[in-house]
Amino acid sequence: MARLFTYGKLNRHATIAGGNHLPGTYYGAWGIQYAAGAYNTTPDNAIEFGEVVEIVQSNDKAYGVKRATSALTLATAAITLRDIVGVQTQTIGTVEGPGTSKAFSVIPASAPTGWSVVVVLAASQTPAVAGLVYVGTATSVATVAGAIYTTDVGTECVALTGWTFGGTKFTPTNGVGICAVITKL
Amino acid sequence: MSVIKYDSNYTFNDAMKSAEAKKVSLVEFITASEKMIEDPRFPGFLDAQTKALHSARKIENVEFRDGAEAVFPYNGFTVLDLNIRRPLFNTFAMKHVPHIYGGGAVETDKGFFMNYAIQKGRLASGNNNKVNLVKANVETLEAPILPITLGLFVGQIDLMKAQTIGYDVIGVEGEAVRYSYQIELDKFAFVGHRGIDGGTTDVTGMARGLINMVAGDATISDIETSTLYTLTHKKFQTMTTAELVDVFVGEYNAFAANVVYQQDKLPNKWLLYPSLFGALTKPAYLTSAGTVFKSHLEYLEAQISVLSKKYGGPEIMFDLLPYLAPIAELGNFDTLLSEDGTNDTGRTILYRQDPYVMRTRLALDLTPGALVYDPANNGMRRNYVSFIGVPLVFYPGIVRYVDNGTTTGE
Repeated sequence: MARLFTYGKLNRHATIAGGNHLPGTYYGAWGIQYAAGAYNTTPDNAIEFGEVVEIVQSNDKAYGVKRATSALTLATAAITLRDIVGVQTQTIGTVEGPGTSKAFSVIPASAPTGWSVVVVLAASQTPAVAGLVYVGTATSVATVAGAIYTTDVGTECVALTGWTFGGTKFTPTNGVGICAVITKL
Repeated sequence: MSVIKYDSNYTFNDAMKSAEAKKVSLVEFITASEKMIEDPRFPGFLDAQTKALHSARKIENVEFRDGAEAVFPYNGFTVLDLNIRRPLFNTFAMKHVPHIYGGGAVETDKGFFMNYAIQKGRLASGNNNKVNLVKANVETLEAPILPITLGLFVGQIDLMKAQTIGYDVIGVEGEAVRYSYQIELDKFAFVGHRGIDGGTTDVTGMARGLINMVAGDATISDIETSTLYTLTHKKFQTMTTAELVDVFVGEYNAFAANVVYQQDKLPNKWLLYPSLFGALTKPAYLTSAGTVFKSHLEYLEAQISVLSKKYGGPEIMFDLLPYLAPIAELGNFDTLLSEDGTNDTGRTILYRQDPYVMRTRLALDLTPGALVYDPANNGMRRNYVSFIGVPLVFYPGIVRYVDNGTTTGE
């Protein structure tokens, strides 16, 4: 896994508040959060925690989602939450995403919400607090599907309208993966 | 104590068996035998058996023989010291690397680390419901465990001949196995799986030991390129007292900062190599004309001790590990164990010897199989097996390599 976020070892210190949250983690709570159970409609294309995915169906059982494509819109975007899950093939490190054919939680980006969540930043992104949030669609090689950008890179990103960065980037592990908090006011 | 003449049929084994039959220790049996010869008041004084012993013994101020010397002839004009001297031997793994035991025939040593995603307190008001949330994350760490085997073989005729002279050949070869095993422990503990591929270099992704970890798992502070200090001399052996204090205290401080000054994570050991110990025993001085009252080493020890006390940390023990010396100074140790730092001028290691922070697992200590007759080879064989792990570092970067520089400034 680790297509979006490159995990290393967890930070060994717990001395800086807000520096150790992993992608997909709730960072702040405000009002009612709309999170739904979901399943991956393309199980062989694994989803990571903190990844923005594309909702392809919604029925009375669950949301069906898959990795973001060029068809992604604000209405179909959803953020994958870090559930507590087990893994079968883990060797070293921490859990990076839901298992194949397992249920997981997503927040539809279009849903009314005030909660903050940690998402995966694409490489070299430097968000500013209150900055706009864009999602890569991998329409070209310029962007990575499901990763977060600070600008509309390659004019192929989808703006998560209403969402803004709640803080600057941080690295919760000693890997190169960077993440940031986004929130919807 | 006396010895038994070379042509006597009375051997160590005889004495041992007699002692066992009487349910006394060997020393008690021999002492009693001596009294039977020399003390008329002692029961059994010069009886038939005692006379046989008396006639067999040769008065020398040496100890009882243990067999192997009977291989070599000597005559009545020879004064023979029958103590068997053993080889010079030393290993360091058990002294410097925490080991825990248990597990058996396994292949992975696994452990966990947990960290808290802590939060900033948010302003609260009478009816607010906006709250910052914390989280806890867990990760696994693991280290491989490998089995090794060693064995001994003694030919049947060799065994019969050894028994003839009371020489415990299987016992001494068993000891050779244990020596071999101790060196294996040093390799696993200090350089991990180096050499298992037949080479002598470390391979990317290879399991490492205490002294050859990669940057990240260990913190490598290269004195030659360090920006922490302004040094004229970057080689320990040529540093002034002030420069040595600068570096040693600076490294301690950097270590302490890395563990956020948590007292039970502060270091307790600093491994140095022999020639550096030697260099540090040179006189400390304030100026070239200053009065000598202590060596560099004594002064450094005193200052580091003061510092660690102020931080609430344990005493730092400066200890010896020859594997860290420049390879030319390694001496009579396996070069596979050499790790002389970034500049090949020697490495020192500041760390906390504490199984909470880092330890290796000895899943199965050296375990002998049965001593069995091998008809195909007409001899006795015994194989040994052990399952050995490598150091599992729960806090990456907590082991600090302080690598010697090359600039002598002279």
